[in-house]
Amino acid sequence: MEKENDNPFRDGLVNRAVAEPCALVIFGATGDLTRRKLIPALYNLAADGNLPSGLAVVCFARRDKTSEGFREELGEAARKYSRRPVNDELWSRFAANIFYHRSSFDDPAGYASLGKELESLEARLGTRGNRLFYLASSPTEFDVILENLRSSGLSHAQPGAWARLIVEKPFGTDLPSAHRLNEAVAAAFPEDETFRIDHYLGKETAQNLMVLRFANTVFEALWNHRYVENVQITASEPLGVETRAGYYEQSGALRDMVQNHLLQLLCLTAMEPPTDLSADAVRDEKVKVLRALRPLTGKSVAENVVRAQYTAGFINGSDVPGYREEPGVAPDSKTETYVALRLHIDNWRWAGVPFFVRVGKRLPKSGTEIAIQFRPTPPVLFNRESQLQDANALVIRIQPDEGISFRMAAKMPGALLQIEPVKMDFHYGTSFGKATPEAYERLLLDAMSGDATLFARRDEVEHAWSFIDGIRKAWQDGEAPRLDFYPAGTWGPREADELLAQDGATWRRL
Amino acid sequence: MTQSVQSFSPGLPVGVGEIDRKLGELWSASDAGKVRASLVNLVVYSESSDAIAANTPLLAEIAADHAFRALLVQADPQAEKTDVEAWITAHCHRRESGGPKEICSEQITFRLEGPAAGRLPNIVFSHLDSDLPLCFWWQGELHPEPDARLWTRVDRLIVDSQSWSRPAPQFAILRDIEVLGAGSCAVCDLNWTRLFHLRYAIAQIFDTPAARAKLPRLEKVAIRHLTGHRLTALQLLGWIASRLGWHLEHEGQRHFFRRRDGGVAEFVLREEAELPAAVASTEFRFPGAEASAKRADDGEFYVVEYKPANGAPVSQMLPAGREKISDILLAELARVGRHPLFWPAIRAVEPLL
Repeated sequence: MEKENDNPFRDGLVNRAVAEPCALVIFGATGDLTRRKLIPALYNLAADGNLPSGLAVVCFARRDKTSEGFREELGEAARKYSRRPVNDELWSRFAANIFYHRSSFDDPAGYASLGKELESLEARLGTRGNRLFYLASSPTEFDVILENLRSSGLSHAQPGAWARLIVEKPFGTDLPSAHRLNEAVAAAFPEDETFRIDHYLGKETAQNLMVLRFANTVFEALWNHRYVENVQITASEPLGVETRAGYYEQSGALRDMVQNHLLQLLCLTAMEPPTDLSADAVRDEKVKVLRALRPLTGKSVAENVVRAQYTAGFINGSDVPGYREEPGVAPDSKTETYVALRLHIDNWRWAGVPFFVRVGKRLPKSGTEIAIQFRPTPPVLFNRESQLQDANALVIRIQPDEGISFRMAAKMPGALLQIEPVKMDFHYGTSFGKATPEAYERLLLDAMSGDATLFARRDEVEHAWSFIDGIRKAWQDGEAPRLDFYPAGTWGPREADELLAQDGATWRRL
Repeated sequence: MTQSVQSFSPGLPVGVGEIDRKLGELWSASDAGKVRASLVNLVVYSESSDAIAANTPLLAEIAADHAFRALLVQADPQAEKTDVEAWITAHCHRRESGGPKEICSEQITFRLEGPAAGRLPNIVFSHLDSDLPLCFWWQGELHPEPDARLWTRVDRLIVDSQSWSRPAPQFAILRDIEVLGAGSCAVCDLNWTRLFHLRYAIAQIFDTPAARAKLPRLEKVAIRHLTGHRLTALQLLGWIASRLGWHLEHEGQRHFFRRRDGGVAEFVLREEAELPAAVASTEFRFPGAEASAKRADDGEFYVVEYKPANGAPVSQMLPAGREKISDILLAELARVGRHPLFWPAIRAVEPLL
């Protein structure tokens, strides 16, 4: 296969892999994801000049639509959701290469005709036989789509070309289902052509975590049990279950957020330096963290995990109902809308350092952050009066207001020796005026150029589920049955504060 | 995207020895809704008599996207009397991505007259924001004898060769400065940066295997450029020639390139008074095919096209970038690293400069 860098004019222009020509086939293209995220992301990539010259987008879905009509729908969506204004001429050219392919997901004839359409597009648009299949449908359809891609031969790369798969989360609902899904994926696509999207990994600040740790001398030297007291990872949102009750009742906070996003952030925070920046080197290190996570099962779940549900309360001064009063939620639901965990990573670097992870709905403030709380100085000199217990903390804000802050102790001006915490603050928005690309832009570009660094590998997903399943089993088997409650608009249940108090710690105030 | 807010202290005259103190007072008097930011020390040096008036609004524009501490120096080395004047100001902007606060960049302005112009290194080094990179934008013609005290301490020297009346000796001085800096001073020509989007667009044409296969037998390159931008067009031509391993030759007055395979590649530079960009189009002719990169009418995009004689054309729109000097400078400031292809491009067309 000819490589893009054979092009003598490419040298020195961009220091990243160039997206290769391909046909992107989106399954379940009439859903929200395509309109809100994928098409705006693709349009923005086109406007930045990052798309290859040969790109076709084939939208595979059941509803009765035409390509022309669907292009119009997508045009409206792009105008509404794109981060930049839509240029009519560019949109027309981009949209001319979007095609609607009507078929049910279980109809082999639909895949046979898709194959013919892709061949025709290869000849017309120069997609070079490269195919990128995007599973944006309901997860219940994944199996049948994968089976049809396999049996139709579409998942087999042609000589000199590639066939890749992007899978949207959730990657299963537990380890057995994740394993089944991964088997179905593996039957159709090799692992190195499989891209499991966790959009948190596409966020700039998540990507910056590795840069912060491994491009700066000062932090990595302190990044271990000798200097770190605890690590707190928080994902909070004031929103309730909104219109997702059907899904959320089945998933709960643990499966919706912890299994994927928060464990990914934990891995990036805790992992060892990779040998290089290749996808597998980075993911190898993340997997080692998951393998070193001390399993939570049986009674240890009761000791280390708090699950809770919001009751009626106030958000931004307005009354909001409790979870069980939300439309679509069972009045006796035991689904957790909040979970707090104390995790331990049993390796040399992190021995004895608790990682506190919490996620919740109907909390007072929206924010995702990682806080490294450093150990206090010895109780001599300025620390004799125990006034500097939490002097140093490094906080990496993932969203909103992406940035990094460092808290340290400073003497207040004056004759008295009074020490106060002060904060050094770096805000992306302040320092860099440039608009940050959406996570999906980066991830689509990476998939088109074959860089899987920001995608989850099979063993990552399965190790994460294995860990999560232990907790859920304890909840279900009655070994840790307790469900706590917190009023909407508060920072979670008292039991979560007590969890940290056992280690002499407190939750950070966001 | 930013929303500009009027500078809150336009041009406060200060004594040179009290600049730091006055800046401190300026910030302590400002309200809590303003935050000072800086990613770079940006020195702007000009010997033009309207340098302060011309550059202050330009710096205000740049500050909206790239926070800095700017030292704007207007020098008149030929003036009879020695005089030094200084002012301080700040450019504040509210950014959509930056939260509710206004982000402010400092500007310290100097007018150096007569022998005082020779104090430039001292003036610069006394007023830098420590630990930040030092970018030095020298506007106009460079001095023939580079000042080692200055250039060995500068991280990035920015010039715009488009303004040079005699480019060949200026490029020689630029090379001397790079040698003086012993590799620590990166040289950046805004004329080269001006071509970035066009080079990117041209590269995209030749990602197509069919087009790339034609490259070794490229027969002719035709470039249309705006009056006053011959050097910009030459840099583009030099880039194409150097990337393809061509050598410039001539027969009498006629110049042409000798290709690697020994064949001849012709070129034409067409100057026009009204065009949408410094370089509006570049056309390539091959045996049995043509390709082009043309600025679209609305100016926001290039339309690139590859047209084989027998087959369907391949066309794409790519961003053209804006050509305002502030946008070009911003693009340069946002870059990290050097321009390794710049000197080979210059060398490829050196006899034509």
